[in-house]
Amino acid sequence: MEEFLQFVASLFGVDKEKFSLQTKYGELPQWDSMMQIRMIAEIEDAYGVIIPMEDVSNLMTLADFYKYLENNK
Amino acid sequence: MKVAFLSNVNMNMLQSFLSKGNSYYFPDGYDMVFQELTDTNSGLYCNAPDALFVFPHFQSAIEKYGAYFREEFSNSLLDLIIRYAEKNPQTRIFVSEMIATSLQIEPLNINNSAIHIAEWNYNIYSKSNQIDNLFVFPMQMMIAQSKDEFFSDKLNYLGKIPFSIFGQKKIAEQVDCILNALSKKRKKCLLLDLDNTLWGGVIGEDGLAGIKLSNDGEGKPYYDSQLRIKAIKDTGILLAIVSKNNLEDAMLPFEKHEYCPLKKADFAICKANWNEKTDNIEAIAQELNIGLDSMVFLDDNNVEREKVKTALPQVTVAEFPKDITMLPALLEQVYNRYFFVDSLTAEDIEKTKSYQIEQIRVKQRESAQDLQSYIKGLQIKIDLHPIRSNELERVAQLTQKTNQFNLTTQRFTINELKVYLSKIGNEIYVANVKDRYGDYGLVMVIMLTYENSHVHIDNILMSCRVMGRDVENSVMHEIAKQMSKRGVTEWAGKYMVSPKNAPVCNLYDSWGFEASECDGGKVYHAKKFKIENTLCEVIYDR
Repeated sequence: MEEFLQFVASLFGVDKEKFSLQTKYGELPQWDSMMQIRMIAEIEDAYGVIIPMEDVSNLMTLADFYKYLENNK
Repeated sequence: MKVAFLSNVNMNMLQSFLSKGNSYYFPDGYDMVFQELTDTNSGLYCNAPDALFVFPHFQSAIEKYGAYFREEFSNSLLDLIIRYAEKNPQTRIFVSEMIATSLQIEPLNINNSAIHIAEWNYNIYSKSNQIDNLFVFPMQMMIAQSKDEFFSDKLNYLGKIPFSIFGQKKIAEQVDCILNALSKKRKKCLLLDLDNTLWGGVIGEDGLAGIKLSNDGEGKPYYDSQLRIKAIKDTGILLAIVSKNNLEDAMLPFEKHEYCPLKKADFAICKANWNEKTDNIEAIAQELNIGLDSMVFLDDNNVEREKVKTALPQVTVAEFPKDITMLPALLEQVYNRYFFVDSLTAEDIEKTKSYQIEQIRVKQRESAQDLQSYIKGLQIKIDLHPIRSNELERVAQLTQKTNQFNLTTQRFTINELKVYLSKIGNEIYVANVKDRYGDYGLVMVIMLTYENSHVHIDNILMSCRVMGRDVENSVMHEIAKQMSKRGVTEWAGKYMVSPKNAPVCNLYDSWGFEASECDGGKVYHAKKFKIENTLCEVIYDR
């Protein structure tokens, strides 16, 4: 989980302390619609998963992303 | 630098991959190309960018325009770009080849899409040859070079972004290279190790027949690398050898090897000896009269690379691949990152030769009794005349590159020079200099404003290659003579301090001008030039 948060921090370009798994899409200025799309693509590249289009709209918090990764390992 | 991007797809994410320090303009929402280019109140016009990038995407356009693709998209976009280019000569415009994400489904004998794409590409290539500030962004080459996926269907459906993260990073890298080239941060010299860098093995031990270098098999990566280095040199970059070797051994492959594309004459300078490489590099910087920060060092030996990094942090040290088959591709990257250039001048092409001749002059100076007799011995001949239209490019280049002998360090593009010349009273004089050893080409520029009996010297600049040879005195003596014929009795000039132009801080003083302080420098006045005993022959050609 630490590693995932670190990954997100580097994408957002902010400190890990600025957000948590509970942070929602739109809550941080860095997490705008462009970042939402970028996160899907970067996570696919970094973790070797494929996130189908129909699941994208369910990924609203960082916890959603994290759980998605855990379940699709 | 101000930079704008236009596309009929979403390019906004590119911003996160571009280097900081420039200001980037992306229109809100995508597919704003036509509005931005036509509406003179658009963000594009308001921004007046130094560089504009245009990325047309084939599939999105064909979806929107269908059968009207040619008239309403490709031809009208091209027209708008050309019109914008002509109206905004200060903006450099980089237009991408048509970006085709996927193959259209169509029978092999019906090539509608292929024709549309080929037509666009043909048109922008031919227009880029005709229009000074229009260039092609080499998208196809980048796609071909990419071993990873360049496009992403996922991003395309999610956000109308046809490119993968990887593809966008590649594009951002290329944009950075172009912007670096525009802001004149191009490096000047590539420093090369020999053994296991330009060939496999050690020439001093393995001998001519033992080193790996051939147009086939194990020696081919070295051969291909040499070809790329030669191509880099042909864009006006100086090559220098920095090798721990006996000089005779080091030269052998360049003189005698059957498959050695690089020849002795390709190198501006050769330091093959047993000194520390860092000492040799400093000596090269001095002899070629270039800064350490304009050098790139290529060496297979990690210890040498680390030594250079520590002792000479201004020098750029290129990484060296673990696997030699990757060296040719690495050299392409080195070119792209450090030596990329949009267009060449005659001086760029002759550069290595002129630096070699320079070294003969240096030897001559060392043996001459005093400076005066050395300069006289050079038999310098100067051709001085008002600027001609075919010299604008070289003059613009000199205003951009000259740092030391540059009284105001004002930079000009070709079009800004045209604007300058269009003002009443403004005149530009240029000097072509040669001596008994060779031709320096156009190396000095004088910009002045003439008004009745009064001349204001807006700037004088001169390439450092001819500094210390009385060229400036001889030329200004002649200018003063010509101007006094036109009734000039008052002279004024200006020296603006820059980090590098200390060598000319007393130039006007040496000509007998009176100085007074001004913001950032000094202003000067004189009734006439005090220059005696000029050492060069000047021929004025009106």
